[in-house]
Amino acid sequence: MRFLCLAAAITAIIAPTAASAQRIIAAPAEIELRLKAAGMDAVEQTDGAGDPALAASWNDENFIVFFYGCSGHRDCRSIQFHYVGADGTPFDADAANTWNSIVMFGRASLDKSGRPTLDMDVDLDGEGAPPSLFADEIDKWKMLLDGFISANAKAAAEQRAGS
Amino acid sequence: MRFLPTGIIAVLLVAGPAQAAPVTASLGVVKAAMADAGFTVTEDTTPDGYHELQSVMGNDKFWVSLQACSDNGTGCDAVEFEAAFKGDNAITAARINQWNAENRYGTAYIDEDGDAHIKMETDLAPAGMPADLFRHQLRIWGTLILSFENFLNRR
Repeated sequence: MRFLCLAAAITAIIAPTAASAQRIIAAPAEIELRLKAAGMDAVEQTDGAGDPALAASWNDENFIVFFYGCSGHRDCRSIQFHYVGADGTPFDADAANTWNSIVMFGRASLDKSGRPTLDMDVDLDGEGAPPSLFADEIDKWKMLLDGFISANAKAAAEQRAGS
Repeated sequence: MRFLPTGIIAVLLVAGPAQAAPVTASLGVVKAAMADAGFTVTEDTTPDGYHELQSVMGNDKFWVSLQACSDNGTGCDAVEFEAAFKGDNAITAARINQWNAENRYGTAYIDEDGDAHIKMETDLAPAGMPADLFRHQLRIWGTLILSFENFLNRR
């Protein structure tokens, strides 16, 4: 009887740990699965520094998921959704500033080649994020990406119409 | 019948951190989480009547506001940390772009008065963020605000 009580006590202690293990960490295979479950395409790759990366797409637009805070190219602690648009658009530093003053979560900039870029960082430090929170982050990225591409396309069309 | 030694049982019973409640997009909950992390936090009301939190990091004041709320101001899904630095119209969009292209988590912009802002949004939907992860977000914010101020001073 005492052994059963002890087993029950140990189970009660282990159970919360099992629940916390359901949180999403910056593991490439896990992130790849989550992106695919959200309707995206994703393939694991390696970035220039040897860290994991995911080549992904949503609505036929390609983007990269970078992994940061890695130790020995694994055990990473955060990710970044990163999209780079085409050059030759009217998106300039002022347009990026306007976007950044209005829009939440996504950060717009021009890369060194002058291409419009959109980034969103997701902190997965420690035990990571709950699945529901990570799913919400993916949804936010979808909206941001769609909105950013749409805004740039509209600006490009207006520029062509005016020229 | 063999039993575990009493010492190991004691370790099992006390092992592991307490499961703190998740941080949700409520000013009271966020204030408590920030205070727990060592921030001095006060509540304030904006001229538009919105409630927000104010705090400091070093000599830099910043505010925390609830975001993505329903029409009646409840059911918010995120918080936004933000600090502003007087720019005297000397900060260019190109310089702010340099920050945004080279840094993570925070987003910088110049407002219509030429002041430079640094902000960071933290998603707390749908059921909040674990307390340990929110505490890490606060550490990120603290580093961001000081780093951005240094960046502005290095013109």
